[in-house]
Amino acid sequence: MRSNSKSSVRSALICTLFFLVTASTASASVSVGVTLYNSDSAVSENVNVENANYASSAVLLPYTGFADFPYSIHSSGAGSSTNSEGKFSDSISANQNGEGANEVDASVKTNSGSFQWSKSIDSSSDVSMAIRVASKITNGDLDASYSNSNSAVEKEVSTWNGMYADKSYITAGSISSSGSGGSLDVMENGFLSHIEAQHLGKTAMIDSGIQEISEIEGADHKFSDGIKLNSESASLTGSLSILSNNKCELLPMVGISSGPIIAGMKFTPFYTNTEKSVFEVQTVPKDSSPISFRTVERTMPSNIKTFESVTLSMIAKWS
Amino acid sequence: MKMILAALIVMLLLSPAVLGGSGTVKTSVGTFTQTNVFFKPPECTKDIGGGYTISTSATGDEKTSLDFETESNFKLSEDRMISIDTGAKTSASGAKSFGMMAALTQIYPTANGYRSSIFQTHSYTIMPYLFAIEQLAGSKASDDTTGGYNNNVVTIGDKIFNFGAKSDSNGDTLSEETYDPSISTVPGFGWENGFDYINTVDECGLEYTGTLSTDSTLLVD
Repeated sequence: MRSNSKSSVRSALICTLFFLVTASTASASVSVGVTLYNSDSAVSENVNVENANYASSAVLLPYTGFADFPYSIHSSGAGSSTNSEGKFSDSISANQNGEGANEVDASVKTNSGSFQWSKSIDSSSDVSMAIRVASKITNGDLDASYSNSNSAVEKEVSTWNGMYADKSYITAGSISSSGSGGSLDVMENGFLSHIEAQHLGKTAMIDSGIQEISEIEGADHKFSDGIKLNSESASLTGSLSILSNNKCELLPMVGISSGPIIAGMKFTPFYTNTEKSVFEVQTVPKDSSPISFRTVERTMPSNIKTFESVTLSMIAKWS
Repeated sequence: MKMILAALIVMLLLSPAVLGGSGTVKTSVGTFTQTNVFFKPPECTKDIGGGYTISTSATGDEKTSLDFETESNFKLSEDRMISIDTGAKTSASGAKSFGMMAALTQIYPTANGYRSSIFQTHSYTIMPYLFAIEQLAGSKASDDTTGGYNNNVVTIGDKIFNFGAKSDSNGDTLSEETYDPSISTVPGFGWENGFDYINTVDECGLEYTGTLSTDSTLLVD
């Protein structure tokens, strides 16, 4: 008897919502906004997609603990690109009892790439929310931004004869993002990358790039970046490597004067509110001029194998 | 006024270490570190300093031995940075592998914290036979130049092979290697070496490290 009563209450008071959004034709753009609220919490979601699918579901209850559910609002969703040129933005905000608003945002735009993302929100004794994003480009461009109420991350990456993949996880209290890429062809390859982290009153940016302008057999490259922002600290890393291969030797030259391959990195720190520099721009190489490289055909005896590499890297930490 | 407040010459000579037992043994001179050589110029409230670390090791048979000798000079330059000139000579015999790592650090204060410049070099040689090696390695750092080298002479029986590498941030080429082409007659020979230029800034609660590294490996089939 009691069970039947509970069941009927469930039927009456559990509101389950499903959304399905598809924007798969070229330049098709679709947006959806959802607000869920009960006596405990209010959750708002805004999703915009272009050339992407998105589906979500939500469970809305009167209060936490109702019918033994551990939450009063639960929402989850996921989406993915349907075209190599697509974009999405997903914004979540929530508050409990009208206080302590939290916000998590993610947006990604790819040109010659793909992305997928998922998100979840639970409102119980506290509000937890997260967005997980994976994106990839091949000979294309990625423009991504991730943020919460305290922090923001920007990534802009372009590749030529190369690829790049990024994985990011954004919660109300932290952002972690890591990406890596590399050349797919030894001729005329390269990349440009701008990563930016805004956290704890400071903003730090790393700009890096490799450009190979030779039409002859050249070198390979790989690069990576990492960002970790949490309540107590921030870290930002970036690195790039130029690598010889079985067809060429690599000669690293000081300065821009000599080689058809150039590479460099720049670090810019400033105070977020005033935009005043924390200290002056730093570069690798240190003298602000890019490092250049020349590749030469291997002339050593066939039984001698050599491998050369040059790596530029930057690490920044603050708290 | 250019002031020379101190000069430090350090000599370390370790006797050959002979370890008993059968099979491959490891001989290590260990790590010789000379750190925190600080100067305090007049009217400067913060120390200016630096130091260096050199570490060598070898593996081989029972009679592997290693001699190690180093000398360094520290000099205050323009009241704001020390220049360091350090060199090491290492001899190993009865070895099948020999490795060296050296790092040189300059530390200097700024209005908002500290900065440092670090130069590192490493070299590792392997051979299928027991060999003797004599290595000369050194590095220099001043306010505008940094660089180093390692030159190796390997003896196997009556055959002698030379190989080496050098690097500096002011020349045309960041790092260069030379080796005796006759090394191609020694299958199993392997040599890895590299250089690192590291700059750090620790100011206003933000720590930054920028690194430029070269690395090279040579293997003979």
